[in-house]
Amino acid sequence: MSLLPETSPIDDELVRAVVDQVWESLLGAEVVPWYGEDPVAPPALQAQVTLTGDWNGLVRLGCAEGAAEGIAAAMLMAGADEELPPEDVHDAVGEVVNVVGGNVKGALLGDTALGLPRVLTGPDHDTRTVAAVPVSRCVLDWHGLPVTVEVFTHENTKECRS
Amino acid sequence: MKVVIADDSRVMRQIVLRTLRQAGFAHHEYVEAADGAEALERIAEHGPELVLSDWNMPNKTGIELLRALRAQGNTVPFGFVTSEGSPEMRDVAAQAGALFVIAKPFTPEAFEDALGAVLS
Repeated sequence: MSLLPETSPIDDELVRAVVDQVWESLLGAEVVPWYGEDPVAPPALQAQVTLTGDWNGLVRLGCAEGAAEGIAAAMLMAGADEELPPEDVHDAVGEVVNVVGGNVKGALLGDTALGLPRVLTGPDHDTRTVAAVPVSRCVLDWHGLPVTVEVFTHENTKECRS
Repeated sequence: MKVVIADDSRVMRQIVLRTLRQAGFAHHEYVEAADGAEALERIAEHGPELVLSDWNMPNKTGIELLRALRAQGNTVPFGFVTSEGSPEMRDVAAQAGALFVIAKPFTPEAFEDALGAVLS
């Protein structure tokens, strides 16, 4: 079932198309949908970027550290036994969400600014998501681990789409 | 030729470098900068023939970097490599003096097309 309000300027189809492109170009991988149990618990790692202006919202990628390490290794074409430093892992998933956010922004008309990506781990909690309305969500399979890509919006968002 | 690559993501700088090599530009000298302010210093220090810059960066954004260079009278060829490639941003970039905007995610072909005339 779609999580989308009927008037949302961003939809699952758009986000999935962006994710497909990012996975192929940045990670050299095809998107595989997650068919396991829906990951309802907060993920160990959350990478997010905000959109502010005529459209206000947040793009968030959530996954376990192991999946983030795999995503970073794919981006850097690291060897199977190469251990990447945590800062590179967080940098990599931050860039993934940054590129997804930039392309989501590209579907909007009006004056909207993309923020800098942030990566939260452990007990960190982002209060900006509390009052947000989910507008798109997909769960992907990264070599047996779920990766969620979500878009939230805030209520003062104006409708605008190219 | 020297090329300055400005991006606040070290991982993205590595990917840009790898893609430049894949696009046939492996033989140039590349200097990295972690934000716009550092890029301004590296450009003054190295006098590159090309600057490739992200748009959103802390300290000094890519467009602020470009405007600062032009305000100094520096006309170094300048292109953006950014996750935002909207028509509005392309207009802003062109008006500020940028030669091109390469949108992330990108391909080696996008670099070949944009950089061929500058680096050949």
